[in-house]
Amino acid sequence: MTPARWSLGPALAVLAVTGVLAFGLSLSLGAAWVSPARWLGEPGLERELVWVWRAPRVAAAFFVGACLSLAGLLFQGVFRNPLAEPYLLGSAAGAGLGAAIALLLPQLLPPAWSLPVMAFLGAWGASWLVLAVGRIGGAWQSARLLLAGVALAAILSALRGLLLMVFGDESTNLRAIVSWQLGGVQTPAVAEVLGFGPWLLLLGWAAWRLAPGLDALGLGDAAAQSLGHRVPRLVAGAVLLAALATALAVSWGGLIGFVGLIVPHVLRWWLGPLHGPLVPACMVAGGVLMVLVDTVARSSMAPSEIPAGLLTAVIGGPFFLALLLWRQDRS
Amino acid sequence: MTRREGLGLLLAAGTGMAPAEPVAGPAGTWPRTLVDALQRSVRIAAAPQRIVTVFPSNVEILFALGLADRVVAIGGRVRHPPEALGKPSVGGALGYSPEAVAAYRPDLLVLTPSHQTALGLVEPFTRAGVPVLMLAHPDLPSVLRNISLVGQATGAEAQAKRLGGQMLQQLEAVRARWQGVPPRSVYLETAAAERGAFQTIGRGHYADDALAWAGGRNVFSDLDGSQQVSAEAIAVRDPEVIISLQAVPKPAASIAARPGWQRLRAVREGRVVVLERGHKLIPGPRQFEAVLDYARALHPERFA
Amino acid sequence: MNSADRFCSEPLLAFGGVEVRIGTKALLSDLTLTVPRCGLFGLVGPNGAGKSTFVRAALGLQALSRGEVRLCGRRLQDWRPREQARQVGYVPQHIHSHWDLTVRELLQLALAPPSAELLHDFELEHLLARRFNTLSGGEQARAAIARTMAHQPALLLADEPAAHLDLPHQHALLRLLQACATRSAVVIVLHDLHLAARYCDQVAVMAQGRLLRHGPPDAVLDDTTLARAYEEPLMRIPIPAQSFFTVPLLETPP
Repeated sequence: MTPARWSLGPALAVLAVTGVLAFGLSLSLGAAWVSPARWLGEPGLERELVWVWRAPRVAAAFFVGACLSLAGLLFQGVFRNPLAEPYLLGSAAGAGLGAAIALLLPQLLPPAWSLPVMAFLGAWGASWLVLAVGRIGGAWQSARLLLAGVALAAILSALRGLLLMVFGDESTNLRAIVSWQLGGVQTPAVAEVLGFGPWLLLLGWAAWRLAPGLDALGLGDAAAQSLGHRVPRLVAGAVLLAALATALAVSWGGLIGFVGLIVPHVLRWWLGPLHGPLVPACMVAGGVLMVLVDTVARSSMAPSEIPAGLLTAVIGGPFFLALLLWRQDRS
Repeated sequence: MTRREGLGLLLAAGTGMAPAEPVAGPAGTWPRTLVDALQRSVRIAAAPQRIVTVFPSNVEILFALGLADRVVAIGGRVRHPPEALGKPSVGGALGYSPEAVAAYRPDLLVLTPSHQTALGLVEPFTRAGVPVLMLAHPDLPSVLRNISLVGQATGAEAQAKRLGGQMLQQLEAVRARWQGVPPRSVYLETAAAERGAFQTIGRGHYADDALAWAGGRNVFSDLDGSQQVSAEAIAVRDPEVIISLQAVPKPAASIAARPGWQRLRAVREGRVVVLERGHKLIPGPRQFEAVLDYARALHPERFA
Repeated sequence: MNSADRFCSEPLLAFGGVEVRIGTKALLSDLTLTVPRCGLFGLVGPNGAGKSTFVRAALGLQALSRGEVRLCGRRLQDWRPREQARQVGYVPQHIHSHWDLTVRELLQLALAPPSAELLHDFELEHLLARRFNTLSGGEQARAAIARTMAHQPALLLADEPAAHLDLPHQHALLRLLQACATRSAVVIVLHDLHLAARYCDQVAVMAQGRLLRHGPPDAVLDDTTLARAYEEPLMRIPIPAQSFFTVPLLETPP
């Protein structure tokens, strides 16, 4: 007996309620508990804690989660594989290399090229490189892209490792680099927070426009072509959009894994495989999940902070396994 | 007894006296057996003449004890002292090979267990009968104990005692200058990734002790060793002084520019200091210089 | 009314001297053929005859070495993909959905919402909530063809739609396609000559990339043509008042 699928409206309602609770929790928890009653109270340390220190970071966490989930959805659609994830085409390796350069060799870079910028450039650049290498006669084929991605990721990771070994010594603290690689939400300035909304709208709209093409791809390249889609352009467009979302997520959150894989994968069971409804649902669900993860990261062992990517791996792995076994039983 | 006084006693106990670990045979004779920092029993047949050591902290200790001519090779990225730069290198950036080390026919190896790559040297040389002395240095008293240990291992006990005494003197001199004012609360940042991943140290780390000697009270003393803390934790503890250690120091304004940090007391009162990381995270004889730098940052009016 | 009449005044699908060459091997040679505006048009021939290549060329998925393919009088490359999709529907040989779609969701991927009449004709009303990948071969074929016919294209291309079906389902499917062929042109690739003889209005016999003959099945599927195509002596077994079976001549045991 296969369970019925939810339609988008009720699903978004559920996600919205969960989201409100998550936001509430995340603004209250941290190095010190601040109850909701005190958020809008008289100015003081507590109110400042919530609105100056926590709120921007919570916004960034939502943004990172939404971007990662969207990227995962797009990659899963393009590669027709429910186990695809945003770092497939070398984004993680590129971002890691960019971040390593920013942290180990800051003297080489102009001052404006900070860590988020280098991480973004690394992720984005790696994806472009993969697209350039993965072309055959003007067309992009998924299989070739995957291979190019794997090869490039290996090369970039090796370069990063070499950089760490050669330039890391007792006077460089490698912990910061390792921590960034394990993933953690950085705090944005207020001006940057205001940019999150427009970015999410743009990414979401572009992905929603690609949704019918991704659905058609699920029936095979020839069938998609016969439905009027230009498959190479569709593939390249989806890959670039996903790479952009990944690069944005990485520049604010480091290398956080699992979110981009699990959220679209699970939502597909819940809402069905059509990409139209999945785009908004994934973005909201991914954002809410990341808000919760970040809350745990900075409050469960306060004042210490656990790298968010470590949390998603430690919790995500077993959770995913359990989910798979549970589905196995039911079907 | 205040924490400062207790620390002082501990340091004094760690420096010049006979160690608590048993030494076979009366002091001054060979062969002798020591217990190193990892509780390993190390037997040294005669005063070592061909010492190989890796990592800057160990190199600095050996050179400070006047054993430069007995050190045949060094490893790791050593930049101090200048005399050490002329010594042949057994590697560092990409690991250590036992064969390269063996080519120097060492009769003593001085290593540190915190770096994985060096551990590969322990087994082969122990089996070959070459004594391997492991030094661990979590806190400041251990640094002084290490000096003493190396002194015993090499027959340079007198120099070790002198060096330890000198270090203690210098620490006392620094402390004397800020006497009378209460210690200032301080957040020491050992590394950061721009706006996140703030790394600091807690009790049991030598930098924590160094801060205490310099007249500071580490706001994160309740943590153990090296830890990552969240920005709001720093906000809640609101230190009076912020010291940031950077390999390539950026202006202090870059820290003030971090989102939200303008609200911190230290930023508002202009007590943000960026120091070059350099020797501050090398647990060797130059730690007293680090203490001096911290003291200048913490009590500038006393150290003009 | 025929859907094609609304859009075309020219012949629906015309191949003119088409040649497809990969290296030294010719997949299609000098193929000239016109597909009429309605009716069931069968394409038969041995493996390697070029039938699938023909279908791909008709869709514009195959680069031509020579000649041209015209849809409604315009060359295929002059058609925009969306426009072309409205006129031409395609059902591939291996109908597969990578994702676990329900039949209802599959039909949502059509270029127009399926009408109630369509659902009734294809007997899909009770299958809407079922997962496509759990359907039987016959049901999957019906769903896939329904998805393609929902927007009433002028031309339907089906590559061996009856290949993996059992006997009753093969005939049911062919009857369904016959019904579609009253409104559109339906070109199907078949292996079973009996089905071709029984249901198709016109048949084209291909072998080694060439078109041997085309026309009504009774005229075209004679012994000589079939023997040339399949390079084997074949025997026709007539079925009174219907059509015939074709079987290879067995060697008599010594």
